[in-house]
Amino acid sequence: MKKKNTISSTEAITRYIFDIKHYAATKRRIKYNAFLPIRGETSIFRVNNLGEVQIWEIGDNHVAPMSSRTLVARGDLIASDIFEEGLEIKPDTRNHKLHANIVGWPLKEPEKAKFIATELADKAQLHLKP
Amino acid sequence: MDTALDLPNDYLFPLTSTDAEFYYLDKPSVYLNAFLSKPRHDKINHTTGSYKINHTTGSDKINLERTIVWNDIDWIDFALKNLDEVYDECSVENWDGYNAQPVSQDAYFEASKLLKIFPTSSISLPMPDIGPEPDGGIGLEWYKDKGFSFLVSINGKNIITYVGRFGKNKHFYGTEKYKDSVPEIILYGLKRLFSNS
Repeated sequence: MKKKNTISSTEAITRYIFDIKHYAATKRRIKYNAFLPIRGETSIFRVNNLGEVQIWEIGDNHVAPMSSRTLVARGDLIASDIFEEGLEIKPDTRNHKLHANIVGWPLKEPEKAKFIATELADKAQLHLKP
Repeated sequence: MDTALDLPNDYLFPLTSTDAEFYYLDKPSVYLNAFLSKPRHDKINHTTGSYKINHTTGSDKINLERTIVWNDIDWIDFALKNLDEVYDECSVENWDGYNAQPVSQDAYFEASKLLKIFPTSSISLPMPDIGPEPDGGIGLEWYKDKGFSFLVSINGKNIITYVGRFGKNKHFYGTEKYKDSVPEIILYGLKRLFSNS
């Protein structure tokens, strides 16, 4: 039986980006590889009702130190963008109360996973680090 | 002081390079130099296509961004250099900050080989975006617009994964064994993507 999503479809979600190869600044777009899962998960943060400053602060002060990289951008989605692709959002609050993972990737069908990643990338809104 | 061109921001004019050069002949030298230098510096054969002009009124700077429909495969040298950069920068763990695997040497070699065997006469293509993937693979992405793209992904294990998107609910994806030629399905997808450019 499919587990019910515990996250509202209207929730704002962001994917922090640490490498310039994950976006095309001139075309203002996120690239598909920014959303490809690692070990079946894509790390995201739930940023509903947070202001720009707060969202960047989480990236700078929490995510960047853990990643050992400098934050360069982020890609914003709403939860329904993810659900529409047949994926789920699973909260993972071990290190931060707003952290979650996109799960449910079709790992046995990498071509389908890449298709989904391209769709998510198209839906995402690129924000370059100020 | 040079006079600014009376062009709107992000002006897009679909001219051939020759047309565009004539357009600029009577313009201030700074713009002419800017226009002429970039494509020649890049050694691009761009007999069809368009340029996007990012123009700042009152400034002596002008940026030219290629949005070219290429009509030959001159971009292969640039693509190979781009591939080298991707490999150099991403052949270490955690290149993405999320514990991605390093880009594998096998994927690098396969991507290089694939780029070199693209047929030069049967298809006109822009240069793909070349990017690393978190599983150590390399992707060649031809991105046209939202919902319109073609992705070729190389994993270093003689398997090519492809994803073609041609508008809403028009897509296909699959895998092909890597042989010594570009799989027909990939050529078909790329032709389909760029057939109405």
